[in-house]
Amino acid sequence: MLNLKRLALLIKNDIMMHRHTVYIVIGTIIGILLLFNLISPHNIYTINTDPTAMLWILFLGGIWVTSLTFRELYDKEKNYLFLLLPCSNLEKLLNKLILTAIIYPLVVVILYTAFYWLIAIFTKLLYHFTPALFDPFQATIWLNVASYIVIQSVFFLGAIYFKSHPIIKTFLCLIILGIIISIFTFITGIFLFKSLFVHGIFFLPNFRTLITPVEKSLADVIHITFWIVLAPTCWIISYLRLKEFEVA
Amino acid sequence: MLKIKDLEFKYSATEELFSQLNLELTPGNIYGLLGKNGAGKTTLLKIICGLLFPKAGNCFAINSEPKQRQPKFLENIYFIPEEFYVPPISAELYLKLYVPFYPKFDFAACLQHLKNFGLPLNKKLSTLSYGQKKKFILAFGVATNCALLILDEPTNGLDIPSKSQFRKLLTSALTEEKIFIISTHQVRDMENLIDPIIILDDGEIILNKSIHEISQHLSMIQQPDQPDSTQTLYYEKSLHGYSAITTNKADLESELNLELLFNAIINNKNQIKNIFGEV
Repeated sequence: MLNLKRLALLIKNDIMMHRHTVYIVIGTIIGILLLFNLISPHNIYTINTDPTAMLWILFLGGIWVTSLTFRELYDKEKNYLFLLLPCSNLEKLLNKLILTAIIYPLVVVILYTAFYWLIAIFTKLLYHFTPALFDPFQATIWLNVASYIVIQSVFFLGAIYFKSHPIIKTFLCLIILGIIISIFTFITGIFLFKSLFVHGIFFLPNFRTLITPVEKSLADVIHITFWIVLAPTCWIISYLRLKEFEVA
Repeated sequence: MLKIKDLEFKYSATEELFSQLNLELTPGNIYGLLGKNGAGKTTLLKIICGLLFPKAGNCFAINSEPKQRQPKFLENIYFIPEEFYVPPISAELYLKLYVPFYPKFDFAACLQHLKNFGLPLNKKLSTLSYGQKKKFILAFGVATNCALLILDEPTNGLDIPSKSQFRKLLTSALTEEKIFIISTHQVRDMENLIDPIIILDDGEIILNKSIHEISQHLSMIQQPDQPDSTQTLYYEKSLHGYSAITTNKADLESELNLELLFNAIINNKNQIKNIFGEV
């Protein structure tokens, strides 16, 4: 089911086939960084340590790249080539996942670091001043990369599910899901705290003591759902979708 | 090698295409799949490849269920659809990228096929003409040495010399372990190539016989006068009179005219089934 040699071939193949998209992504990242520096040149002393721009590129660019991942699946002329390539469905999915969830963030971090190190070198040469070097190993970056992997998994699922406009449709689904969860939470809350309703009036005296453990549990549930449950769930559903995908 | 049993397929809840479809194909043959537009030829090919899934029944090819799309199965099947895609890369790079996925790929044979077709290795595939692109894909597909080669309208867009080269290519590539399936409307291009003949009509296989079996049962005749419709299964006006198909009662040997055969079968489904003893 999983052959690492084949997976490596598939990744190489995909990069070569989509190399124009790769050039566009790299060009866009460099372009944004140049623009960012042109509009705030006075920040040269501080920006080298600040990963803000990188996080924007990571999240927005990553979601855009992810939305393009399964385009060939919905292209009548190309989908047979993808589906009939002698690799397992798992390898095909992992290929796309590795490219968008691992290789893309690495490319962003490497490009960002290289760009600001180059600026640091030029600053040193031109102004005889050594600015602080951007540290690609700072915890904030990797914590955000981890968040990106989780959030990206939702858009990855959207990319395989929706034929057109996957970003918009995924957002809409998230909004609908949010509304459903809110309604469910509200109804559950009414049932849990119905003892506080006396003759239709909401009694508050003991509400804080009652709600605190619930808040804590809720925070734990959200924490576990986000960091442990969400991404694997999206990946599994994406795998099943790919496995069951039929051409039109 | 390829077995379809009680296959059911529909595109929508109300529109059933295949119902209780059965088909068995054996290696060492180039099967010709013929049928009118909308008969279900391409759908059947896609089911065999694993691009579409049966709603009921079984489809087994190369000891595998196509819908599982297992790598071992995919290494042994090559499908060339009517509308295909070639990426904007050179033939050389295409070979470099795709050959490693096919363990039985014959690189030397592929280069020879490309040379015979007069295709350049260094030109971007997307800049080639439709016919050249098709020749490239055909050369690649044959060189994969897959056990099951499926071609949907392979001669569309090929020039006259290329059609002849295509026939030579397929006949030379066929071995006892391989099955080639060619779906086509260009029956004249396929004469002397396809055998057995499968005819699909309204989602039903009405004929799956070898040329020898067909010749044993049916006789094609040419005559200057209009044949008696009670004595013939089908006839049509031709350049030198009339071409007709009759039952081969006298055990005559006649040259097969695929177009005439197809029209005769489509117009006399039940009679044909009776003749071949399938009713």
